[in-house]
Amino acid sequence: MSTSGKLTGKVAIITGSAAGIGRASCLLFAQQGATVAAVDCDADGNAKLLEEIRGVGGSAEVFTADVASAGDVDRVVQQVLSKWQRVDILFNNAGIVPGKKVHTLTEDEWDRAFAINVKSMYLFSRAVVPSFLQQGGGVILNTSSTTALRVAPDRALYTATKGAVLSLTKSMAVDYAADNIRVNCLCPGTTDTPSLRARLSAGGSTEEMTEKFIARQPLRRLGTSEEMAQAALYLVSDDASFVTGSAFQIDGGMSL
Amino acid sequence: MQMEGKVAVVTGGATGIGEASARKLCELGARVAILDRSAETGQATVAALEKSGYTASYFPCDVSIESQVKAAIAATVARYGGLHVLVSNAGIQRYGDVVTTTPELWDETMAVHVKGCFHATKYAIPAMLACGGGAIVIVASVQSFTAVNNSVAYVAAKHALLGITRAIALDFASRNIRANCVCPGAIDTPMLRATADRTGSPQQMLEGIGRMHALGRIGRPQEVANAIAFLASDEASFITGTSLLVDGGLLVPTGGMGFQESGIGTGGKE
Repeated sequence: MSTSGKLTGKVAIITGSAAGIGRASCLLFAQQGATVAAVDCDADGNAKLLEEIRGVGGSAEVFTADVASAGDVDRVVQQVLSKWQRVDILFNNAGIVPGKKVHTLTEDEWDRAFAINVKSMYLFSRAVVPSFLQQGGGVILNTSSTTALRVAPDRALYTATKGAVLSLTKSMAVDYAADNIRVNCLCPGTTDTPSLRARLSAGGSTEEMTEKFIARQPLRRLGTSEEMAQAALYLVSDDASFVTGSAFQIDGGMSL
Repeated sequence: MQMEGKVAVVTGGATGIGEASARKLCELGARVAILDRSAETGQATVAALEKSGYTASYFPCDVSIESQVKAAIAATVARYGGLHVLVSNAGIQRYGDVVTTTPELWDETMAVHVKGCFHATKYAIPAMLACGGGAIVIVASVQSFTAVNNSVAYVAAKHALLGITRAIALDFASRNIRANCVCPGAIDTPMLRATADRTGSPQQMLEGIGRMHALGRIGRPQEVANAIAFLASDEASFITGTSLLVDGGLLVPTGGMGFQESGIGTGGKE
């Protein structure tokens, strides 16, 4: 598609690709010349994404996988490597947003959130970093959250997982800096995604809930997935060559 | 990312990060006004940009003097018909601890960094509002979060810039003005070179400074300019009040890279 895009010639693995920030990033990265390996548990959503990327001349493959399963993750990375012989970008974006306070959370809910939001990043990084080391470098981007820096009520588990992502990002940034691997995280604020819409409609009046969310935004609106994707593009591109270990807040001023 | 039709002011735009930012914004299509104390370097930078086919102007300006900032921004608006982007970058490096720092040195440092940013934003914002909005990028520092030895005025000034960024972001969010800051680590600029030259062995010092960064090197002005351009662009439309570290991982490791290098911080490494 693009021969002069910011990501021309790069192979990018993006998890949580079927919706929201992941989907928008797959489209933008492909538009910027990357070959995209889109990973999600939602095969239908991924099929639609693939159609859309190919429809505009982009290059992509989709992979149905449970990001918390080591077997699935290793299989996906193996397939990516055998198909394209390289991987340049890993965007660990898959995540869920559990609610509740700690005394009402079940152990299963706790374990599931950490498996999807945190362990998946370990599994994918473990599978991809050896290729980065062999190739002489690479870029990892993890989706944390602005709530990792300024907490929100009824999000103890979610916030804990995103805090873990922040620390994981910084640790990996230091561990691999000498190997030319940059590791950063995105800290999105409230973003208009299918995941948010589901939460809004679950809370009774969608309009009332939406207004509540917007009320805490100095910019007086929610963010869009496309805006998050633009920040992701910046961080994974060579434009950000001196940026590693950073937590980039894209939150409409929500944390001010 | 493009800036076609946009007008940008870069304070301290004659050299270093300011110069690189002016060039980057020009490359993206903006018309750029360089405000700087030094007429010689300011004019040379503009001449170089014009030689590359870009539209740029030099306006003499000491950002610490309100009337000069007011006049330079008014002249920019008069010449280019508006203002959409401000890169508040002007800064000076000064040394001293709180006892050895004279009130004059304290005032000079604060005047350029803090009051200079106040003046630039004070006069840029009304011009931006007249254009329907705009984006401000303030050049802060890793020293907005941490301290280095013998630099109390500089450290305090850079901390203050973080506060200015957040306050402006909040005050003007509803009026379509975004304000963010970039926080560079050590960058290969004339200012850093001047610091290195104060020592007996500048090259050794620069290498030592490079090793403090996880990436093992000092940054290039263009790498900071890339971050500034992104934050100033419409692609960053949901980003306000943020500070973006462009520091090669300088602030990440506990105890700094020296601690890691010494072996104490690498306990357990296979």
